[in-house]
Amino acid sequence: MNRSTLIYADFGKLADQMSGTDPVSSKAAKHEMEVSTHASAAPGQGAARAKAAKALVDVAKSNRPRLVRAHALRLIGFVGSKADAAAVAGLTKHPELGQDAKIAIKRIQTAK
Amino acid sequence: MSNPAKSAIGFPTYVPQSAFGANDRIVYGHIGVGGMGSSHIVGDSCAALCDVDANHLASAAKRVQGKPMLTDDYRRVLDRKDIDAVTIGTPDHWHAIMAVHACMAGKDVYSEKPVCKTIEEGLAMVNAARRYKRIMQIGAQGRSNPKVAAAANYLRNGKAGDIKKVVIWHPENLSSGSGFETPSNPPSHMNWDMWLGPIPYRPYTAETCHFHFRWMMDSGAGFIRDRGNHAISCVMLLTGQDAWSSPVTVKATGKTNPNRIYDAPQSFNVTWKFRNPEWTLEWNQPGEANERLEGEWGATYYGTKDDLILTGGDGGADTEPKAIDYVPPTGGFKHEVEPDNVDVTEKHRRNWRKCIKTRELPVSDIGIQYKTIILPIIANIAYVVGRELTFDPKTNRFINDEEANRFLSDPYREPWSLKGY
Repeated sequence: MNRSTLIYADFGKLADQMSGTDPVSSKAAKHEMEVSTHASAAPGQGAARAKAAKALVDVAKSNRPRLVRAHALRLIGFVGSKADAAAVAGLTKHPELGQDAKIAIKRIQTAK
Repeated sequence: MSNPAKSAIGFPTYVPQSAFGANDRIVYGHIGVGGMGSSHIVGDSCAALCDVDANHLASAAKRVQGKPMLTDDYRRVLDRKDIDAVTIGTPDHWHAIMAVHACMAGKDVYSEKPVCKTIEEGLAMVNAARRYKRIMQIGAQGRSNPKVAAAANYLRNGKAGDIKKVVIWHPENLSSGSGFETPSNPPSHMNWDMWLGPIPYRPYTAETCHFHFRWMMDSGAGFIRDRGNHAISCVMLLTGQDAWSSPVTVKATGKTNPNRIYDAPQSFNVTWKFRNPEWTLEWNQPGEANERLEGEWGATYYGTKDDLILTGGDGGADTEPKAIDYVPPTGGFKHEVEPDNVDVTEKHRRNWRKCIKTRELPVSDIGIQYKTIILPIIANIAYVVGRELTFDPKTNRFINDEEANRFLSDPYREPWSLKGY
């Protein structure tokens, strides 16, 4: 998989694929979202990283299944800014995603 | 080829505490008593057994004299003032929290490999052992293996010259299970929330729980950190690099199995490049055994004058006759293992018990094993972020990669914390 071509992957589309019933397809989408996210955060990729983080926030705040949104929150922790942390702060009181949101926010807050 | 699953959880000989005499009595609590953790039970000096699986508890209790406390919460074990020492045989994601809390509670610790999941956890374990003056032995028992010692003596006394390259071969991660088992309610004998503990929620499936937790990044991270702890512990001993202190560059590539739930890469290739001295370490999964001495896994050490093979490096190991027959010179390097005629894992536990008495550092002390486990941890991070990284062991951080540094710790689910309970 060419990581550089994945920086601008459509995270909404991948999240929909993750939400499907085919586990093989779902896993592939999950992996592609992860690869694309981390490629966007390579040193010198500022704009791509911000774009990826915003797309992940949209997935986390969507109505997709729990594990899809939790995956997006996990990735936000690695590439998100303090503004992204604020954008998902409301999810800390979510009955299912609260812990995932807190973990993402803590990772952002403790980044140096 | 032998079954890696079987050999990963071989249970060594059980030796009763009474073998050491009444005056040397140490009272134990055993945390995590399925799999390898069950091998550490001292039947005649055990005050508590802990496991989140009631079936494990019931099975372990049959091997203990009297009526030990049975619990699924390790904190109740640590609360017991009559317990001197604990063994920890849980999945990886619990090791650091339990070990640090045990030190805080004044217990000496034998914790299974791999040491921990993150750099932050490893540092916390070292700091806790030193601050609370506790003996912490890690179950990388290759350091108690006479064959490993023979190979170390051969190389450390310069028989192969300067070691420039070490190549580890290892089979792929296991690919068991149905593929994508449908999540279900945990069985009634399992406290699934406590099993998860600090890691993010995931639904229960048998194929990601006992033993197979190894193939999930959150709870195991693959053979690179599991057997890798054993293999790399041996590498650092044989090359004399336990105290390595210059930045290391790491590059990792791998592939997951698309038809299984597991997210740890099933095939995995890593190269670490060290400085001062310059040498290279490779992990090849799968890799080819050296035809001179075959084994399921092992390493070839390439020196400027000779090379040497060590297969295995946990309870089982073998090396070449030239190393087995080698006698270290007077005043030369000699790696000592416990002399008793018992299996390697029992030698390792005896070294721990001896150090509990003498308060000396054990042969597989947490300080040494932290430096070992850094290498698989940063390999997994390099794989996940998809780029070469450079880690500085003096600052315990990656150089010039802000995102990679966010992997140095994994925030926990509440209420878990390394600061206490």
